[in-house]
Amino acid sequence: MTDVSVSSRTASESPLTERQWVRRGELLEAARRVFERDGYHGTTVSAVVQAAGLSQGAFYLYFADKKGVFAALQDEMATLLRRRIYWVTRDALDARRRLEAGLRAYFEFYEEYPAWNRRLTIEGLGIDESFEASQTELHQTLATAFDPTLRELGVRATAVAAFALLGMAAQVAYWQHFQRRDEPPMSAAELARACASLFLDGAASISIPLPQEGGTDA
Amino acid sequence: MPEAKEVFAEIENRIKSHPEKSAGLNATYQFDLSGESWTLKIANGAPELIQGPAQSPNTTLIATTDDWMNIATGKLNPVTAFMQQKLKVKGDMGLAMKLQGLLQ
Repeated sequence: MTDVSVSSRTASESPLTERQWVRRGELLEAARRVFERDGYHGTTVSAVVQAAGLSQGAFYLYFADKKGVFAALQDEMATLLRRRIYWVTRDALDARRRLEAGLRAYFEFYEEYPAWNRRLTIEGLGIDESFEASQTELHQTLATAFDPTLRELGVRATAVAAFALLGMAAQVAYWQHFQRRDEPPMSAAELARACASLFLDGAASISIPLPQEGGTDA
Repeated sequence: MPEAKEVFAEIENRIKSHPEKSAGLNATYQFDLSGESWTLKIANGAPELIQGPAQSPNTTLIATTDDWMNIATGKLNPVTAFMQQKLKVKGDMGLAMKLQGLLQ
C-alpha cells in the first residue's frame, strides 16, 4: 500500500489524522482526474484544489507542488498494479497460465485507468528524471517478478524477454484503448492470451549467447 | 482470488521480510471481516498472526471479506475504500496508516 508519508510532509512530522488522511486521498483522486483531463503540463494546483473542493492551503499541507502530487499518484498506482499482478500470479502452478494471468491483470488495470496510463505513457517519462526512475523501478520489479516464469518456460535471455514482454503489453494496451479503429475490441483475457502466444513463440527463439553474455557481433 | 488466510499470512511475511519498517513498533491490529476475525500482533517489530479476535486491539479494521480482499490484492484503493465506508477503522487511526506503510 502507499506509504502515507510520501508527500511534502517530512518523516519527523506527526502522523496524519483520519481527516487529513481522507483529505489527502481526496486531493490524490482529484489530481488524477485533472491530470487525465489536462495532462501533466496543462494541470495546475489551482485546478486540482478546485476539483477536490479544497483550498490551496490544504494542498500544500500534503504536497510540495504539482510534481509532488504526480509522484504520489504514480507511486500509488504502481503499488496497485504490482499488488494485482502479484496475487493473480502467485498460485498459478503452470508457467504459461501465470504469464497469461499477469498480462490479464495488466490489461484489466489499463482498462480501469486508461486515461491515467495514457498520460503516464506519453508524458510520464518526459517530465522529470525522478518520474522516469520510478517507472524504471516498476518495470524492473515486474521484470524480476517474471524471471522465474520465463526460465520455467525455457526462455534463456530472460532480461531481454521480460522487458520485451512489458513493452509489448504497454503498446498493445495503448493501441486497444486509443489507436484501434475498425478492429473489434478485445477483452483483457483475449489480449492476454494473444500476447502470451506471441511472446512465447518469439522468446523461445531468441538467439544466444547475446553479445553481453560472451558472444560476438559477428 | 486468494483466501483471507493467505492474505494475512502474506501480510505477516511481508512485515518479517522488511523488519526495518516495523522496528520498535508495538501494536495489535484486529481485522473484523464477514463472520471472521484475525489479529496481527506486532511486538517490538515482530509480527504474529492469530486467527480470532484480540483481547484489547489498538486498532480494529472492519470490512466485508470481499472488500478487504479487494484492498489487499490491489483492486481497491484503501483510502477510497475508507471514504466510501467500505473500510472502517476503530481505535488508533495512526496505527492503521502505519500498517499501510508496512505493506507497501
